[in-house]
Amino acid sequence: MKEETRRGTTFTRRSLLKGMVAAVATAISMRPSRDSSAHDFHGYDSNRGVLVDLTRCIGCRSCEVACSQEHGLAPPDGMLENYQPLEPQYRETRRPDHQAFTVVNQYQSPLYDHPLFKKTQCNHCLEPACLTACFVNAYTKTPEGAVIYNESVCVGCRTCMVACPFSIPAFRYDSAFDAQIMKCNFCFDTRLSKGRPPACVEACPMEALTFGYRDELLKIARKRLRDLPGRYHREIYGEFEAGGTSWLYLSPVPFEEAGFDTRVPRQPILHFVKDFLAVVPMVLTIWPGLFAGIYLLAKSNKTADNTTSKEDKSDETIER
Amino acid sequence: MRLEWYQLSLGIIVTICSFVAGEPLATELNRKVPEMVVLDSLSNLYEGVSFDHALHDSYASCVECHHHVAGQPSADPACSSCHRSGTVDIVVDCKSCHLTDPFYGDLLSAKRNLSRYHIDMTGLIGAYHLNCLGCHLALTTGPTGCLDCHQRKRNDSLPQGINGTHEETE
Ligand code: SF4
Ligand code: SF4
Repeated sequence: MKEETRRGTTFTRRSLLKGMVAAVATAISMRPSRDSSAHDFHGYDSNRGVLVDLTRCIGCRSCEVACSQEHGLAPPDGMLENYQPLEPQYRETRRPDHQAFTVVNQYQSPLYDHPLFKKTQCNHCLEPACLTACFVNAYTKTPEGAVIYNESVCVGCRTCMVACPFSIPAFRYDSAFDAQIMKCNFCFDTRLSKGRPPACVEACPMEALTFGYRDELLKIARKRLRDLPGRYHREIYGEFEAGGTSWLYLSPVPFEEAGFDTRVPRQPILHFVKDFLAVVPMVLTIWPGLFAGIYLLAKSNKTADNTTSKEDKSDETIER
Repeated sequence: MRLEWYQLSLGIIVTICSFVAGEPLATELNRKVPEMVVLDSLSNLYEGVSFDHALHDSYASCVECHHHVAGQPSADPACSSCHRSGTVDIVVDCKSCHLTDPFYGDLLSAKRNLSRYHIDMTGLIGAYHLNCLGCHLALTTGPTGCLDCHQRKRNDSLPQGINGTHEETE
């Protein structure tokens, strides 16, 4: 019986070793190709985007109205009939939600002589965290650059809301049976897929929103930085943030002054998720021993806390 | 929905039209320039905007709006590095360079041509507002409010909120 098992074990071990060598060899040979496809993806060549120029925006909120019309949402409230440029139409800082896919907020910076207005909506990341986080694949990154969402497969777990570095996906709570995520879809169905610019871009009187191919928009942005030195803070928000976004921003002041989150990592969120997942097995293997050790230590301290030698002993026991 | 925007872009195509005849202004070019220009590219939504060309001619030199096509070197260093002397073009109206639909089709692809310099030319609506408002706000003179220039058309056949700017209040 014992011998049989041993023979069996020897046989298995040998084949296992062979297999392991083969697996390691395959893994090594495959590594570069896998890396280049996963890490060096910088978006589709056909990725469209929008360049938002804060120095041009006058806060009129035409883009908000156009967006809600395009998507059949209620018109935004608090609009002024005879709007005067740079006049705030609200005080609070709003977030896009299930009733408004885009909002324009006002920011006051000591570095700028008049209020700044920043349009916020989905940035349509090149490597979207929401897409990566969704385990039923409700999100799609289209070759045109839009990150779109399919409510028919969504199970309502809201992981995407947590994953998004810009906190954009919003959950529609008002209908219990038709709950779904709501966010800017780059007007994909009605416009982008037909080669038309999004509704907000077309409505903007100041051309604060410039629509085009993302690579071209980066060139335009750099041209503005070069041609009008002094007008802009010399960075393009979205060029690298979260691994690069389709919507890019130019601002006259450092971005944090105008309500941007400058702590957003420059790598795609995907990379962090991978690191985090790698940490989990480590936690599972180390933590039980660690906590058992702490528990025993505490217990031994309680029963006999007069000698250090005993404590050392108990430590040894745990290590074994 | 789609029809509205289609109509809008069509409306935009009909631009600067009526030139009210008047006395020719004495300019550096000694060329007949209109005293009043009605900008009515959005005439399906608003009454035309009456632009007092003569008044502005007395405030600013031609190049400040017409860049390098009005016979003088441009005031903008980004233009004058190539257009050194300026040309006297037959057509000097805004819409002949600033397109009514700057974000459509071929132009987007054409901008990807590496040898193209003019990749950042604003569309017509952008050019008007950036130029007019830019000056009016900087000099704190001249109209700046939406309705100061754009008289709302009272047209019941218009869909609600078509202008994309204001909530319909009626
Ligand atoms: S791209 Fe479309 S959905 Fe997104 S903010 Fe603009 S109008 Fe709204
Ligand atoms: S429509 Fe343009 S100018 Fe008006 S608030 Fe939106 S981005 Fe700013």
